Amino acid sequence: MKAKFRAAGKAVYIIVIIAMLFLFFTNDFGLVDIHKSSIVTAVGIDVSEGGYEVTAQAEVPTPSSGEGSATYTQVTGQGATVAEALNDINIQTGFYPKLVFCNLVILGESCTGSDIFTVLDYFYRNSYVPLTALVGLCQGQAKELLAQKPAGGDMSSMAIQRAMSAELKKSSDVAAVNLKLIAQLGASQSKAAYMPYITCTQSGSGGTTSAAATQGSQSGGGEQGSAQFTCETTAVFSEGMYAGTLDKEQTFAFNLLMGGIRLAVLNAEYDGVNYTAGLKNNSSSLKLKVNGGVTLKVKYRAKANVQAAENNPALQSNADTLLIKDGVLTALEDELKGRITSLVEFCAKSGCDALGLKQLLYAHNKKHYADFKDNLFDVLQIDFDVKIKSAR
Amino acid sequence: MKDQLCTRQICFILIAFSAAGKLLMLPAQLAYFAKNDLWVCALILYLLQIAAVWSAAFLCSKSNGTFFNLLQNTFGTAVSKVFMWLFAIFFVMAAFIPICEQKLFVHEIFYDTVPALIVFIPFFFLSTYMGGKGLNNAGRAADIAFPLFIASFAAIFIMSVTQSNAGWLLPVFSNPVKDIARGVHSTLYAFTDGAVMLMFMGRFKYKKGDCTKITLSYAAGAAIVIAFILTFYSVFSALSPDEYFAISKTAIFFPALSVTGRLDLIAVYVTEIAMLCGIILYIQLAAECVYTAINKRAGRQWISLAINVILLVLIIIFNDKYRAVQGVYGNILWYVFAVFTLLLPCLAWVLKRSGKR
Amino acid sequence: MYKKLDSSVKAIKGVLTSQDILSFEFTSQSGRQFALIYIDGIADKIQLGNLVVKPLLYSGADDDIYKIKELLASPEVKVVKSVQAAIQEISLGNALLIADGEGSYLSIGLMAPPGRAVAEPPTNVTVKGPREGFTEDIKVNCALVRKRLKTENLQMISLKTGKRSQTAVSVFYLSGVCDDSVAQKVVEQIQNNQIDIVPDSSYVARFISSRPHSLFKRCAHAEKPDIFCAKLCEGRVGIIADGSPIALTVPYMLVEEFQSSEDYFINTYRATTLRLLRVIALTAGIILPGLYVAAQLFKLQLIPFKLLLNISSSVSGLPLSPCIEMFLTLFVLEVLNEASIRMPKYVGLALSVVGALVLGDTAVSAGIISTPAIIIVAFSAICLYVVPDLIETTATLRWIYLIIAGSIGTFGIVLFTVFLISYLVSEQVYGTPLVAPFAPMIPRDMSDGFIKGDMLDLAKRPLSLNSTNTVRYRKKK
Repeated sequence: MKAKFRAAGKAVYIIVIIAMLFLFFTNDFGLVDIHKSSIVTAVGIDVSEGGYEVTAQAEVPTPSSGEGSATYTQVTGQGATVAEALNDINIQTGFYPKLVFCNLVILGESCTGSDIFTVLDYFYRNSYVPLTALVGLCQGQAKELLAQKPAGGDMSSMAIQRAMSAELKKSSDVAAVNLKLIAQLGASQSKAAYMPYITCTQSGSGGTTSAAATQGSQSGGGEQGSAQFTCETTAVFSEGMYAGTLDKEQTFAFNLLMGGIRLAVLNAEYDGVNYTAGLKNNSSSLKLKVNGGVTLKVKYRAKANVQAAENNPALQSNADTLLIKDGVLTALEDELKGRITSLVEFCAKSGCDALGLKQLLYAHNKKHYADFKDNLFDVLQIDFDVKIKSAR
Repeated sequence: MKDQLCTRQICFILIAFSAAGKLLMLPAQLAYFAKNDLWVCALILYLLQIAAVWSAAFLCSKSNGTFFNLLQNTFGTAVSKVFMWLFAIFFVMAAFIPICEQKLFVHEIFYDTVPALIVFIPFFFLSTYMGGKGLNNAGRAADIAFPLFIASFAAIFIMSVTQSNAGWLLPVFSNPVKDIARGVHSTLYAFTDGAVMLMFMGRFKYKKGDCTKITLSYAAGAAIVIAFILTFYSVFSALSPDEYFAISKTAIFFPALSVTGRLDLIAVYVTEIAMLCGIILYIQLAAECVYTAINKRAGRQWISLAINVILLVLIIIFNDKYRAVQGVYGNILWYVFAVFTLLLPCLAWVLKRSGKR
Repeated sequence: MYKKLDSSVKAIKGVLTSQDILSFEFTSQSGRQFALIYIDGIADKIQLGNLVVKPLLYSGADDDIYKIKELLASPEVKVVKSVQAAIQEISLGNALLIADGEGSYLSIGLMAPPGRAVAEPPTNVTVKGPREGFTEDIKVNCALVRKRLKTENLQMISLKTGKRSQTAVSVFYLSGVCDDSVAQKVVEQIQNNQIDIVPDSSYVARFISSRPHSLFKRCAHAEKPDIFCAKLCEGRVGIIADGSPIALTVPYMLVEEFQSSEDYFINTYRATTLRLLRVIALTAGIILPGLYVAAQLFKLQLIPFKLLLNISSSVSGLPLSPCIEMFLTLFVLEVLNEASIRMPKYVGLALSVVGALVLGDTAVSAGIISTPAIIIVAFSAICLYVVPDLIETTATLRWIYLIIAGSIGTFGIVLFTVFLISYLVSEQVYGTPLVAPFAPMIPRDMSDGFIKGDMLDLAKRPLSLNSTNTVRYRKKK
């Protein structure tokens, strides 16, 4: 019996070896390898009359002499859906667009008229697209934004990612968000989502511009007035629809309350002098207390030091240069409270629960959720517990 | 009878092989039924299984014989052979759905573009080879796979937990009992450990305290799975039901991976070793049952070959019908799993025991 | 038997017709005629003159063969009673003394075959620790072992193997420490082989292996007596074959390959680091070329994005697929490797230039292969040599992994790894599992596994070897 099994095993062994060698040398099973792929690093989506215009910024295989200079191209495809538009790109270039490295999805201004979850649907259905991709809304067309040339001849997608980086998020300046978080927030009880609003300025020109659309392909490297990308404001969405934009101050307060801030910089005026304080050891929490009405308890703790003061240079001071006067601390606290109040008012006015208060109510006070889910902002009162101490 | 395994190997099997198989589809399926209360389903399932594993392990302390010997003492050889055939069929059934899951997992996680079914076929070569090796091989493979599994799981877990938000699990017990119950019976097929433990009876030298060690090991495996399920929902919340192959997805949000590439995939591939060994254990057990039932008249290798041919044919037939298969297992066959994995380990106590300790 | 000297010499020379078999005839003081038959170049002629010829020339007490034996000053003298046995003794290199009128002969063991001196083996160099290595002479090798183990427990069984070569093989073990049944089995297996020639100990390794066709070897190699003796003290059986500077030890465990003799002479932390390094390097060396191909073909995400951009630029425009590119690069490496071993040293420099510059640099410039492929293959080649004794196995495994990865990708790599685990855990050598102490897990032996415990913690012999005396030393209380 064993001998038979061994003989059969040997036959199978030989067949397997032949089959594997055949596969090895031919790769003849519809494989899309590195030679046939273009590595998509960013996707821009614009809604047009005919459906969607999807612009892919991709690194394409181009021979180079070992130095690995990144040559990239930008191609726009059109289709009734995002998937069809991407397929159109495939047809145009001959390269299979691989989205596994796509780390940026930019929605053009035209997307504000549609449900963002419909626009982004492809990315949630396709298991080869990483949910880590950052998402942002831009002024004008996404296609135009991606066509901008940043300083250093880099890909625009790289520069935009830098503007939405984790480091900037930790300084409370950018409300960076990825595909996963948007879906989570949209599906929560708050049904609200947010994303950075990307603006582009041409260095030297000073103003915000719309760059000329670039069709077809382009090669990185040229510098004709470099573009700068900033994401200081935040677009918010309610039930998938655009609900407005948080200004710079509201964005700052929003980020501070969402947590994970390492070092934030806040300006306040005290005694007619402008102080810029660095806030570190930040900790914040939002709690809802139900007692007939609903009270939002905002707790915030931080340690501050002065980073600059108008008309009060450090050289003229004594050893306590970094020590902040109590009055300045109070001014900082008041400034922060003002920004948070403004943020909550915006939410109430726009009907967009960007702060996730309904989800908070559902998670911690489920029995009261039904009572207040429709009129939460009408009955909401804010109870501030904001304390900023001097770092020294 | 020559001992094929030792207690430590059984413990390793119950931790690594058992837990690894539950990190693929189970979290998403539980999230589909019970949403943020998915861990409650897992806890109920595990409590039931712990009772079954304890029952079988405690029975080992009372008898030297294998489960087949107990059946033989009580019902005679003919009936006990029928039982062995039934167990063989059960283990083939138990192996089938994880193989389907593996096929999907391999197609999605090991390849950037959807490959053909053929890339999964080599699994059956391995399965045939290992399936004919007996339980001794499974035990020793567990010795190697266990530390690899623990190390890779720890890496994935640490990367995942830092990017999770436990707030998504709130409020607890917010879903109807009906949904929890559906979650429990629809995923019962993933929990076969009571039956596996029953098959280990008499195949290791029982020492005092082994029952506690085995039960605690299984509980440790349960803790690993439940901790992972909690992390999984904390990472994905509402997206969870769509996030199949959980083990390969929770760590990708770890910031360092954006620089180093998908290093977490290496950990996933290492975990895959324990997953594959876990699936092949079912085939080894099925082969062992048939081997006993036919009085060792055919070699294990031939039995393993036959079982694998059957499984291969089933996989080809049900190639793109995973949801249908899952539906059948979750809605119809769960009774069978309840009987074999929960009821029989407890009912085994009524069997006549020989060679009492 | 011939009593006449002439007849005896004629009979022997009639069989041993080779011209390097010389005979020297002389007459003793008593007037009796003698003849010495020996192999030119093997027998020690000076010692034969001093210890055999001289005593007979100056003494008359040579009445019978036993008295003659007493006269000889050589310690290795034995009486041979047949022409056939006499011929065999001469073939073995001993000198044969024939006395006129005697029916028996004397075989005198005074050999001085040419051989090299004891030196450090070139493939097993240490910075710290003993530098003596085995030579091709079994007697020297046995003496080197004896020199280190001055115990009455050291047992040596001398065997002859090879129907024509009659190669001397010595089986060593420590009685009371080693499992005697293992030694017995080894002796039986060596005696049972029917091969005509045993030129090297590697032949013996095949005979004592339960699976001679396996990719994984079943005997450990020792090129130094200190390693050999240390293994004997752990309870292993050692085998030394004449003509081979490589001794064998069984039972064999795979983990031995990761243990260098130097590990025992240096700081335990450093030794542990080095062992882990060897494991990682070996794993990387085997898998990396395959993984690189699989990543390019099937799973780009395994490569960091920025590195991928570089690789993508490097490989684009290449006429070869990633599989064939890697296959070709590895093939060139193997050819260079093989040629550099065989080629005379003075051509070596030219070979390096051709290999490194012409094949490497020019092939990249010409766009035939990419730089990353060369880096991966070079790194893999270096990695495998951290465990040089396993190179035959690891280099083959590297090819297998490459073919599998190129045909079914990373899943193939995982499947083959599981297969290897399953195969290795079920293998045993003389009752010792090949992958002990990991499977089955023997926690006590782990302190000399991938982690090297302090010497003082290794108070017990490895449990995996079924040693009859497990205590290596008793700690003072």
